[in-house]
Amino acid sequence: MDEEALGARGLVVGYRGHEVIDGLDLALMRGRITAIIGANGCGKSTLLWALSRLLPSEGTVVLDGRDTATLSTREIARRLSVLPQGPSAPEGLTVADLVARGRYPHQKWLRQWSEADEAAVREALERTNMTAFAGRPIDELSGGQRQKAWIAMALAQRTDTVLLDEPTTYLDIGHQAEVLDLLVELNVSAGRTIVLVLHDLNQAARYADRVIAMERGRIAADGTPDEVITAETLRAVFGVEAHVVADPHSGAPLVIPASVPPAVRRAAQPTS
Amino acid sequence: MTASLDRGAMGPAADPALGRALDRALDRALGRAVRGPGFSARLAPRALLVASAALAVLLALAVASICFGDYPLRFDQVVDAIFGGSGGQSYIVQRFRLPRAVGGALAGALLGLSGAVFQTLARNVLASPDVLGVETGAALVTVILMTLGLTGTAALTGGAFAGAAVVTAAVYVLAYRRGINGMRLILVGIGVNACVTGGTSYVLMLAEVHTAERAHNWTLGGFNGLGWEQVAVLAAGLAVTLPLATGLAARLRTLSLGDGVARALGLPLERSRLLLVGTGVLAAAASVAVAGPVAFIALVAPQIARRLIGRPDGGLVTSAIFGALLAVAADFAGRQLAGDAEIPVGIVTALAGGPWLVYLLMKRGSRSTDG
Ligand SMILES: Nc1ncnc2c1ncn2[C@@H]1O[C@H](COP(=O)(O)OP(=O)(O)OP(=O)(O)O)[C@@H](O)[C@H]1O
Ligand SMILES: [Mg+2]
Repeated sequence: MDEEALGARGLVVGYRGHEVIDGLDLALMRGRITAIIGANGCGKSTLLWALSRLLPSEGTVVLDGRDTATLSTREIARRLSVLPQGPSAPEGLTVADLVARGRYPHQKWLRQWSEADEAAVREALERTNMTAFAGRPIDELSGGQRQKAWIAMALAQRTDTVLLDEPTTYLDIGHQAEVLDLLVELNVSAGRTIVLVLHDLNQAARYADRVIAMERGRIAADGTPDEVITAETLRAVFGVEAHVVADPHSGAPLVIPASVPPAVRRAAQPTS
Repeated sequence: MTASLDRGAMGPAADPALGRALDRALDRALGRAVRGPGFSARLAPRALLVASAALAVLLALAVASICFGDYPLRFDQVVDAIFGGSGGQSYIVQRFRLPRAVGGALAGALLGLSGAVFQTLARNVLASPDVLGVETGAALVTVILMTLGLTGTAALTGGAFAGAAVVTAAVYVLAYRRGINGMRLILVGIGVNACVTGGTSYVLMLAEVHTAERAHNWTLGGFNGLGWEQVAVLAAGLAVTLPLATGLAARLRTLSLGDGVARALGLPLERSRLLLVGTGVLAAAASVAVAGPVAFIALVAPQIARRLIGRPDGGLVTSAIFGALLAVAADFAGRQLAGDAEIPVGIVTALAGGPWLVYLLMKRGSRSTDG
C-alpha cells in the first residue's frame, strides 16, 4: 500500500544565481498528509513549486511513478494541483467563476463545460462550504472565505495530489480548523495525498501524518510529528527555546514557546 | 486521470434548497450548459442578450449615419440603394456612406477586441493598445512614409502595421521582468509613447507644409474617405483576429488568475501570452493602419461590455460589438454636431473618452489595486 505519490531525486532549485535547494531527496507516500515547516525564507515555497514543476530545476521529480519531465504541463495539472501563497483574482470575479477555472486542465477546445466539469465545481463548492457564496465576487469576501474559494478552485481540479502553500495563514482559529478539517476529510474519504506548508507547529503536529522540517533548503528533520516536533529540532530549525508537551486532548506534541509573560517580567523588574 | 473523477460521488449530501440556490448561482455566474456528443460549452443568457441588444443599436446607428448627411436620405431610399438600385442616391450610399459605416464599425470592433484582450492580459483596465503604443507606433511610421512621399495604400497600411508591431513589442520587452506586471506595462508604455510621439512631431516639423497637413490629418483619426478597399483590409483583420481571440479565450481566463495559478493549472504561460499579445496587436494595428488612431474605444468598449455582462473578463465578442457601436456613434456625432464642418472621429472619442479615463483613475485611486 505504501506507494510513492510524489518524489524528488537530487533536486536542485534556485533563482538566478543563487541555489535555494541543493540536492534534495524526498518520497511522499500516497494517501498521506505531509506538513512542511521551517523558518521564513528557508525554501518551503520553492520546494513546493519545484515539486509541481512550476520552477525549473535540476534533478528528477517523480509523480505517480512517472518522471515529470515526460509529462506535459497539462497532464501534470490533471494529477497534481498546487495552490500558491497569496493568489489574487481579477476584480469582480465570482466564486463560481473562479472555481470553474480549476477545470482548465480537463477542458478541450470543443469540450468547455462537460458534466464532469460541472460535477467537480459543485463538489468543490460543497466540500468547502462555499455554495452559498457561489455568486458573490471574490473581492467582497472576507480573507477566510476568499482562501476557501481558492481551495475550492484547486479541489475542482480533482487531482490525486494536492499541494497547498500556507492555506491557513490570515485565517481566524475557526476558519483555520475548518480548512484543515476539510483537508483531512478529503484525505480520509477521497484518499487524496496532501502536502501543505504550515507555520503553526501545533497544527502540523495535529493534522499531519508526517512532518518535514526544512532549514536553509535542506531537510533538517523528517518523521512523525512526535519525532520531529521536539525541543531540539525547534532549537535547531527555528532557533527558539520551547517546551513540547503532549496535547491532553489528542496526545499530539504541543509547542509552548519558553518566553516569559510580561506580567512575570514586570514583577521581576527592579522598581524605580 | 479519469480514475479520480469517480470519487466525486463521495461528496457530502446536498440540501435540496441549497442545491437549487447553487443551480441559480451557477447559471448566473457561468451561464447554462449546452451539451451535445463530444461537445460542451456554457452560454450565458445575459451575455447573449447584451450582445444582441448592442448589435441592434449598432445596426440602427449605422442606418442613421447612412441616412443623415449633406444629402439626407429616407430609410427606404437607403434600403433600395444598398440592395441594388442605381442613380445618384445609390452612388452616394454605395460609394461613400455604406463603406464608411461598415469600415467604421469594423475598425471599432477591432479596437474593442484588442482592448478586451489587453485589459485581461494585464489585469488592468487601463491597459489598452493606445497605452501600449500601437497607435503612436503606427502614427510615426505613417508620418515618415508620407514625408518621404510614399502615399500608396499598401505602403501606408503595411508601414502603420509594422510601426504598431515594433513599438508594442518594444514596450512589452522593456516591461518584462520574469513575467508581465500590468502596472509596469502601463508605465513603460507611457514612457515609450512619449518618445515616439516626440519623434512624430519632429518629423512633422521637418516635412513640407502640404505633406505635414495631410499627415497631421491622418493622426487625428477619421473614417472619412474609407472605401471598399479599406473595408476589405479591416474585414480580413477581424476575420483573423476574432476567431483567434475566442479560441484563446479559455487561456486568457486562466491567465487572468495570475502567473502562478495559471501555470499550476497547466497553462503554457509564455506561449499563451505571446499568442494573445500577437492577436491584440494584430487587431489594433489593422484598425489603426487603415482608419488612423481612434482614441479610447479600446479602453472603454470592453469595460462597458463587461459591466453589462456582469463578468470582469471574457466577453471578447461583446467588446468587439461595443467597439463597433462606439466608433459608429462617434463618427455620426462628429458629422452632426459641428454643422458644416466635420469633426474627425478620433477627436470625438478623445473628447468623450478623456473624462471617462479621469473617472476611472479617480475610482481606482480611491481603492487598493493589485496592478
Ligand atoms: N522569485 C525569487 N527570486 C529570487 N529569490 C527568491 C525568489 N523567491 C524566493 N527567493 C528566495 O529563495 C529563498 C526561499 O524562499 P521561499 O519563498 O521558498 O521561502 P519560504 O520558506 O516559503 O518562506 P516563507 O515562510 O516566508 O513563505 C529566500 O531566500 C528567498 O529570498
Ligand atoms: Mg513561502
